[in-house]
Amino acid sequence: MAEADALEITRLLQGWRKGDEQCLEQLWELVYRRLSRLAASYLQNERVGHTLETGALVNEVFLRLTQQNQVRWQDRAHFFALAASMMRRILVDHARRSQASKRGNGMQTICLHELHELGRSDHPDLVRLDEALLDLEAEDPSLANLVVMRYFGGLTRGEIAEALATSTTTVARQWRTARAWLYAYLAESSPP
Amino acid sequence: MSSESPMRPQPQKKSEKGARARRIFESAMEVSEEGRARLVDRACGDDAPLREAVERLLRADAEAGDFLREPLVRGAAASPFLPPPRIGPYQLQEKIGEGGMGVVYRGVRDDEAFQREVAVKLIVHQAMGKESRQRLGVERQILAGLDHPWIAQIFDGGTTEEGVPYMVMEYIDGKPIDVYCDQQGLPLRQRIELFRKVCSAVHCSHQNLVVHCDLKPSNILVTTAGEPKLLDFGIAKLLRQDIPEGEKGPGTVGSRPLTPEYASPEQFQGRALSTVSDVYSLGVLLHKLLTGQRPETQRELQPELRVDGNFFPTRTVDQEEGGLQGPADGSAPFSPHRLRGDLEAIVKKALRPRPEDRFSSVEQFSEDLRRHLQGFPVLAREGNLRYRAGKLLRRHRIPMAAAFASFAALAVFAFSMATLAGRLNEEREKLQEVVGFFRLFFERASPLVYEGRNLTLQEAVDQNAGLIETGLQNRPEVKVEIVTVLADIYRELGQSDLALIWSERALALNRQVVGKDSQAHSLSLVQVGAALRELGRFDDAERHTRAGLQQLQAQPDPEPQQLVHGLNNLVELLCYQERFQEADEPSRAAMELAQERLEENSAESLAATANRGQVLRRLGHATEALRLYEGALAPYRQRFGNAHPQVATVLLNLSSIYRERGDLTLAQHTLEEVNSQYLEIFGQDHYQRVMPLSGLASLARNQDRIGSALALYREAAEVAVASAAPPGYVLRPAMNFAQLLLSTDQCREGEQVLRDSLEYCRPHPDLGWRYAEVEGLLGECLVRQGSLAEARSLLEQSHARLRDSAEEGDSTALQRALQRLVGFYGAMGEEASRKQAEVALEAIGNIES
Repeated sequence: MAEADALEITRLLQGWRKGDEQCLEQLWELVYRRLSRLAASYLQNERVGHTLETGALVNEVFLRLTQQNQVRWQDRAHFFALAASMMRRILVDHARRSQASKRGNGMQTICLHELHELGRSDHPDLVRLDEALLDLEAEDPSLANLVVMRYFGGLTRGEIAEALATSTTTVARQWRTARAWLYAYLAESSPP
Repeated sequence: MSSESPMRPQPQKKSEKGARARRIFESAMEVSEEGRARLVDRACGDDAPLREAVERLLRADAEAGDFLREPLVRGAAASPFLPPPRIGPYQLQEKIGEGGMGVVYRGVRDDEAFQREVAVKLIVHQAMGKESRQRLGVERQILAGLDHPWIAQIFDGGTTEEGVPYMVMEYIDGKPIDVYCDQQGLPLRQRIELFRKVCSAVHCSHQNLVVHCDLKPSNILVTTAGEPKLLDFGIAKLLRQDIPEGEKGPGTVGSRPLTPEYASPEQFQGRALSTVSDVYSLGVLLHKLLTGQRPETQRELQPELRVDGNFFPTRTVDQEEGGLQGPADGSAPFSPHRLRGDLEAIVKKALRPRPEDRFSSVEQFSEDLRRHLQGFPVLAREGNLRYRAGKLLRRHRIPMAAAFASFAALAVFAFSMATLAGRLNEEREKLQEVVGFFRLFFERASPLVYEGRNLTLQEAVDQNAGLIETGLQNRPEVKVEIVTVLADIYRELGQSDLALIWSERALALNRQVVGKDSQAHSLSLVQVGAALRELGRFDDAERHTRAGLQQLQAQPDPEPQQLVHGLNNLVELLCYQERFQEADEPSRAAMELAQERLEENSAESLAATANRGQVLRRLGHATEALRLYEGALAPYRQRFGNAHPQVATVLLNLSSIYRERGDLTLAQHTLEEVNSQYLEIFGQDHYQRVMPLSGLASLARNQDRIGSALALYREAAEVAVASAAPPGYVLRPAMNFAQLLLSTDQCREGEQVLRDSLEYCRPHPDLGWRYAEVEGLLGECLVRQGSLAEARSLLEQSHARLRDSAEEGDSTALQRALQRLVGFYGAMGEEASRKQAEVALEAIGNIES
């Protein structure tokens, strides 16, 4: 990773935090390319039984993109929030492609969903979850955001509170609501 | 934060009803379950769709179970970059480090009257389960107990709200050790000294049963005061026996985080780690500090190779050369040649792929570096000793013996260090081996050692001497054995004064350790006697030797070999003083005992036979002597080979007997063999050749082969001077040579030979009668040439010296001097002086008869 990129991402993060939406777009461009390339290789190489280390993945991107010590706390939180939404997109796309190819030619690719079923069965179908999230986003973007950060980004309550400039109790309360909402939605295929 | 997907239809419009339902749901969550229905009733009233929405949410919440509870993937929750801003009383500041197990932040404690800076380490490893966390707690307590000035102190620890374990430790404002060394431009010696401090800290942790397992520059900071501080016992594993196998926490499996550049092979392979694994990592570190680069083996490592159990390339470590190459561009502070010799050996030993081949402890590693700094031989070379010595011996045979000797001395040293390290019992056998090795060595390789000119050996022995004195203080029983061998070495070196000092030391130690009546003490007495004999202190020598012999004989079950040894020493002492009559009895006893009890060709047995031969010959039993010598020759050859000083000595004695018996041809052949043996052993210019050469010359003279005789004498004289022989070796052949020259009327050349030899010997005034006799002969030579004034002073001086000599000397020399004076005074017409000389001459004749 060129140093210029690292400096650039630091600048963009700061700009974004100050509310410059253009910075976010550029940041997205810059990070997403790398993240998706990395994720693709992870998803390809991960063998059955291995877990996908989102945290490790994001960290890796972050490490490559920034000079860590020059990025402030809040910027980091924002970065991870951003990365979480990228992960959502990458993982959902991956799941969608896997399902399509399974339906199509029956090739033995392993979709993320299956991957997790090997270990745990409490993960929903990612494609359906994504649809639910889109509707939740329309209802209440902050709730959807929270879910993305928590579920796709693996952020802790503290980290989310930091990124959203709110308290951990608020995060906890909203999380419960969002989870119930999504569960109800998926159970009956309609928003509650 | 959006995740628009252009493929999707626009979601339905945000509903007011939904938002209200969620607010009611959230409120309901705040109250107890009994209160919930009432709250929903009141909030929804008769809005049935609203009520339904709220109830769906409540139902969902009740049924959701673990839905979405775990993030999509495990471990993500422990993102190392987003710690809570505060842990306990510590406000976290910027990140200051990162390792396999976690991240370190600078923390400030500001809730007290004073501000305190700390380092807070969050342990965020995915494999960290509940058990591991518990173990970490135990470990933390042990680490907190590590109290060492060069180990960062642990203050506190716990688990964050998110369940991330953390440790609070001393904040070190320092630089990684490699950076520090380069920035400060530290010279080699100071780097090693700094490194030894690190070793001391690691050793301390080892003593507390803590292995670091992740030693690398970023974990070893150096403060502005120049003191190292060890951090991050992050993956330290306890050596505690009470943790059952297979349950040693996150430590013993392949998932263990490690730093490939510094990890030991066993760490890569996920094998059990021990303190010796730290030795390896320290070896890598030392290599880095000394050359600016990590060793080859490390740089070549590819992570993919880790699964392959045999990936570890041994070539750079195990090859004799080239294991420790420096950077090609020369940018490193130290050129690679600095890592030759001791340092190379030390680093190599630390980097051996097999743990058991490395230094057995960090302390030992550090000790070896200390020895290097102080100029002592290092332990790291121990393993190569026999190999190298054997190789040298095979390649160069005896000419390289001196180098061999220094290795032998090293073996003593190595042994002494091994015993120091407390491995005494297992080294017991080794001791016997070392001592046996020495004996063998001195038998085979003494020629060059006799010369006593090899400085390397001298230095090696001297160094060991000091070390043994100080290093073996608590091991008298080992010390005495080594001191005894050392005394032997010094005697073989011709350093009789030092041989005396060390043998006396051995004597005192033996008295102290095993007591006065022991066999060891008796042998020490004999050894002291031998040293005294070499120093010419015959009375003291005799006292010690006889006392030792007596004690040996008084032993309840004396070892025959030691008895023969003692007797041999006594016989040799008596022969030195030409007290052959007194030597008769002990030499016979020694030989008989040897024949009866010892192996036929053991060293002591052969010496007894040779001694007996010499005594018999001097006592006029030439035939019997001849029989002994001839009988001894074959076993001597068998034991020592065909070219060895001991064999040559037997041959020299044989030739004397042949000559005395008038068997001149046999004498000549024998001497010729001696000469060729010496040539092979010592080379062209060695003073040992003077004896057979002048012997051959005098044989030639007796056979009237004057031309050969002159040529042989000339060669003998030349060799004597060229080899800087002791004066005794110069004077005798010079005199015989000159006499032959005079008798063939070659006075001028004779004069030159005599003057040269006197000139050569002038630095040694205590040459006694031989020097005086050469003076007399030169005087005679000058008379013949008419240089009367100088002749007179030489003749008178020669006589005065011989008359005043307290030495036994050769009375015939005094006779000859007086005869010359009588002749000289007569020729000069000085009657009074002539008369006086004649009277003196008659007086001697009377005494003689």
